[in-house]
Amino acid sequence: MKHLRKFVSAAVLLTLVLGLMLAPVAAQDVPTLTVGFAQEPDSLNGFYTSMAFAQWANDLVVASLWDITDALEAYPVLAAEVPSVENGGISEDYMTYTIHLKEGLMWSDGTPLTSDDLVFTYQMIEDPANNMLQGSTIAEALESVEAIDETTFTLTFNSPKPFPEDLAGAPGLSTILPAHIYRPVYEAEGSIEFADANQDPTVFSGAYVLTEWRRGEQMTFDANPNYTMGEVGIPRIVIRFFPDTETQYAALQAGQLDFVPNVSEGDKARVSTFENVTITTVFGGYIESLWLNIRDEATPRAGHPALQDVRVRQAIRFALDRQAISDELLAGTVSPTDSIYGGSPFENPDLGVTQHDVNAANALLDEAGWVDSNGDGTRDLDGVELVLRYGTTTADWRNNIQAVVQQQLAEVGVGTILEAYPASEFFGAWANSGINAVGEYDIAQYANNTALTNPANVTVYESLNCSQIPGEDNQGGQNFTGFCSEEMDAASDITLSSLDGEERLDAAYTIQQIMTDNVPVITLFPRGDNYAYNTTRFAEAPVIGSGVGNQWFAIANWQLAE
Amino acid sequence: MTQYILRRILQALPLLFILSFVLFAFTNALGDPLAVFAESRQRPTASQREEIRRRMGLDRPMFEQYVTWMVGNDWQMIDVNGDGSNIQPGTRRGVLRGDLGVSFVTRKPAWTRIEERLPATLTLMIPSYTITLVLALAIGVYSATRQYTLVDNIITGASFFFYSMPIFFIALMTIYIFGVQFSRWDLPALPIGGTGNGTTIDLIVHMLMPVFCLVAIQLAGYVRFIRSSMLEVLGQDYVRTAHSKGLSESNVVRKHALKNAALPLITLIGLDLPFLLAGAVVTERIFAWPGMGRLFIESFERADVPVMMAILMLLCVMVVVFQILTDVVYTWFDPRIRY
Amino acid sequence: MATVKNVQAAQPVPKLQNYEKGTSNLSRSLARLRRHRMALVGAALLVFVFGFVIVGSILIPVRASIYNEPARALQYPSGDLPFGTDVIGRDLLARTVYGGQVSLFVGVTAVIVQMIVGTLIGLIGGYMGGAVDSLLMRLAEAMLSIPQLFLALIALRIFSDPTQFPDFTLFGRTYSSTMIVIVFVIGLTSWMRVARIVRSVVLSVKEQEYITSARSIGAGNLRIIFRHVLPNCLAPIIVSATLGVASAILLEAYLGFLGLGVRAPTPTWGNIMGEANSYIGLWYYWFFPALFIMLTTLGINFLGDGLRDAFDPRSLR
Repeated sequence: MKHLRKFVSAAVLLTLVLGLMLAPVAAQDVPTLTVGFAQEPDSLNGFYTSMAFAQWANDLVVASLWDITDALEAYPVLAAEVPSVENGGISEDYMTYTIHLKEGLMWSDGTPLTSDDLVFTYQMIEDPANNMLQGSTIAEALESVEAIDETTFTLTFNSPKPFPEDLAGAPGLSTILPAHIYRPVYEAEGSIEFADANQDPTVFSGAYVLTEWRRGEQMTFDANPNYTMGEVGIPRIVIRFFPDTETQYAALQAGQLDFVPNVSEGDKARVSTFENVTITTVFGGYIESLWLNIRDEATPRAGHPALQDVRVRQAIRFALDRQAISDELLAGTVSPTDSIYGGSPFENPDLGVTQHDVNAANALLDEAGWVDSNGDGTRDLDGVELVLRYGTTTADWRNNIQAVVQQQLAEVGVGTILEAYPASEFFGAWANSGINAVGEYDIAQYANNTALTNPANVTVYESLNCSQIPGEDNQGGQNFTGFCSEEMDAASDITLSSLDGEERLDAAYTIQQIMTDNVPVITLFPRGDNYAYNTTRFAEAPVIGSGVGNQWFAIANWQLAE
Repeated sequence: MTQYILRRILQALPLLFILSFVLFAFTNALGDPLAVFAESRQRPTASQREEIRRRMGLDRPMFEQYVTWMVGNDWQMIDVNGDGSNIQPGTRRGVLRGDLGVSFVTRKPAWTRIEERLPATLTLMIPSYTITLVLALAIGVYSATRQYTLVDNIITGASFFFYSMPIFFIALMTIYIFGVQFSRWDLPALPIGGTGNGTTIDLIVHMLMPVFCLVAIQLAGYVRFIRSSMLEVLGQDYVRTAHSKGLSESNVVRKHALKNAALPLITLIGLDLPFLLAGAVVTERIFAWPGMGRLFIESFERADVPVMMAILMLLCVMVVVFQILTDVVYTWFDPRIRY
Repeated sequence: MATVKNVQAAQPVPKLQNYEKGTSNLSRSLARLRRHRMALVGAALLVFVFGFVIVGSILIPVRASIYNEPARALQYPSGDLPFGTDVIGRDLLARTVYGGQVSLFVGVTAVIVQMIVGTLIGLIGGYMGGAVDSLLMRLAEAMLSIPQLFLALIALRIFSDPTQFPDFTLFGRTYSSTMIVIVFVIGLTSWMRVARIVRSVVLSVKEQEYITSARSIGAGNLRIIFRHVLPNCLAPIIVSATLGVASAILLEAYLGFLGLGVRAPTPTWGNIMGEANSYIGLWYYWFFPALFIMLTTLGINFLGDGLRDAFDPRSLR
């Protein structure tokens, strides 16, 4: 018993000591905006992360050359102007960009920010030794980069690049590395992959500087004293990490959080009922869709044979009551679309939306020969039951949609087996037997990212392109549906490279028509980026940027209520 | 004694090796660490993913990866591009030389990530474990000396109440009542999540809810354990003898029964202590506590093999250490035991 | 984490000498069990829980547990829907009944797996001794050095892959394959303590005179194990089993909370409570599954306590 008492007192003492160790002094009476993130950023160097939350944290501390407003217009930040053919910034053939920086730019430590920093950044992107997660599109497209003087540099591409605004959101033009910090590391180690500044940056160009990062818990940002682009309204921003979304919402509800980005579709209705909490939705280009596996090669797995028949695919679209999903499951906050460009300025307005029509679905399935011949409630043909494997990620709201879709399809005699995978399996590489990559599904539900600033749609040229169909000899292929249309690929090339805006838009309309007719993908609804905030904390409603650019693009103008 | 400890350590080594191999094989089968952000706007392209996999050595056969993990690869040349165009010496030193690998997620040493989280976990786990033990001792002894009385039954029933609730539910309920509803009722609401602003007072305030939850669900198990070992001892002849010699009840309980009932309890504590380092997965997640349990889950979700392996191996080593320590403590409590 | 582990750890190691006298104690034990009111209360609770699930399964068609109607989402309990509805308008009464089926199934079968594996390994180790014994005990030690939740998470992630274990249909009802996988994962990560208990009983029994004499008249190994050794292990195995059921049900709930439980739309008490997390203000959403988890755990633990006191004469003063 004596020893037990000793043990107990030792434990208590140890606790106190540890508690004090955890406690660097941080008195807080600075007006602070408290933000909740569901995940902790994994890196504060934009080239080493694919995580939305890391990008968002980066956007506070990193100024880009230009940015995109909530109205999807490009405006210059570090650059003196957004280059165009008219202002001479872009050559006639769209192959060379000449970019002028503003005068007197500074890093947060007072060092001048010059074209040297940009040239260094592009050199880093191009060196494979840096093992970056981002920037390969730029690295592949970039022919050369050259500093003309302190504030001017040129980028030469190997093919026409008609959309300068597109490069703003793309990592590589949004992250600019401070050469005076990274160059010594690069020269010493031959790579900046393990540079301390990736995790603990000390020098910044954005409206805020990182003052403290308590791992696993929170990041503190203070207004950048050397910010050259105007006054910053809120002196301090604290980002706290809440791995459990329920806790996060509880903190929001209790007034302990002021701003929460990334409210999921399923939680939107509920969160908007909290006292003093408002949700703003900014469309960021995500479209939630059902991807049908119409691959016919047996290796590693072909989709269900019924899906080969376009009538069956159309019937499934008729059988879905997407309006009901929107109205009843998602509180009417989204509306169905048939377009792979849904919600963007390039959506074909004449396309219309397929309405829920059980009779049409039944008729098409009958016509295709899939009838319930054995009376078990599920259609079949030649002894094959029309039962589809329907997989998605483990997100609750998606699993709820799954359950509802299952029931809607059952009404027309189409059976489904519901499956849910963690993202690392669902989207895993071919070598890891990723579900999508090897085709272990008939219907896969996930979101793609449509184009918002130009008609070149990455979903179309990457995930639906004939040359991207995965197989033994094309293991990195991204076209998991296996859909192939030469005509659509041709149109997609036009959206990518034509210098004529009219022609690009026409091509986008062609693509939408082909997609609607062939149904390799059933689009459910365009999904917004939802931001919840406590209205009592803000002097006026904060202006939030589109996800294709920077959600904090107007952060300097945000004001807290007195 | 020293000899005994040395022998135990030597016995544990092969076990640790086998464990490390099995765990390595399992953690490597968890999926593609680069696939998690396939839906994000800035996803890496397929070719870039392949390239990174090659550079991280993830394209190698599992056994080769294990050898690299264990003994490093700085003694061999690595074909970085996979086509012979860029051959560089390896950089890894291997676990045996203190290099636990680099986290796939942050590209920081796996050990650094553990160091970042360990203090917070101990700050949470040690007080809650201590409180649990002290309460359990008090309640367990009390109810053992009054077996099958009304009080005993009530105590047993009440401790089971929390025991049978999933902790995530107790935790969220606590947050809902003391965090959300209290602020609605204009009562002083407790802070939700995190460790506070850095002062000790604030830390303690932030610990109230998670510690309460941990104690609530752990208590019943210990109460029952202590109660039954006490009952065991109280039925022994020497306790009856002590009674018959006219010693007072409290004297018997404290001097004779408790000391003997402590031995199985020490075994139990010896088994539990190393797992305090593992933190509390669910509690830490809900209370946004920056601890080890959360680190494990976060690494698990992103298939961050080096960090997961570092955590698991740390636990295995600690289990061995604490087993030996338990044996040593035994000799204090029971002079009859010698090694 | 320590929590799940601790609960396991709390299963006491019974004193061996109490089982030496074999089955002659059994009738006395039963008499003592009847006297133990808590055990009777426990049994009554279990009868109620099982009765609810069984009668419910007969009265309510299985379809009702997955039939969704988003238009009637989150309805307050009423005459038609006595437990209310969940977030996509499923009948919570039906889900509680069928969730109970799955939770109880997982709890009971996981423990059966755990008991079979644990008993076998303990028997073999204890009876064979030598290298086999030390190998098996090292295995148990190894598995004890990792928190069960960590092990279960990793194993589940690897084995709950529907491409390898597709969902199956039994008696016209489709079950998620994860149900079976979870049973095995829980069972195979929690046999170690049982094995240790059984082994120690075997070791003490093995040296008894009647075993030596049985051997001397030429009884085979199997015969000795089944006739003499196993009956002596029964008591600690039963006690350990009753306590294991509750832990298994709770562990399934934790795994569900971490996104790796029995896959939707198959309900379990744990995953209903997981869904209800988002609606903690709506008491009817979580109250019934919570109540049934509690009644089950309480019932089983009271019964287990009673059994232990009954089988252990010394704990009764």
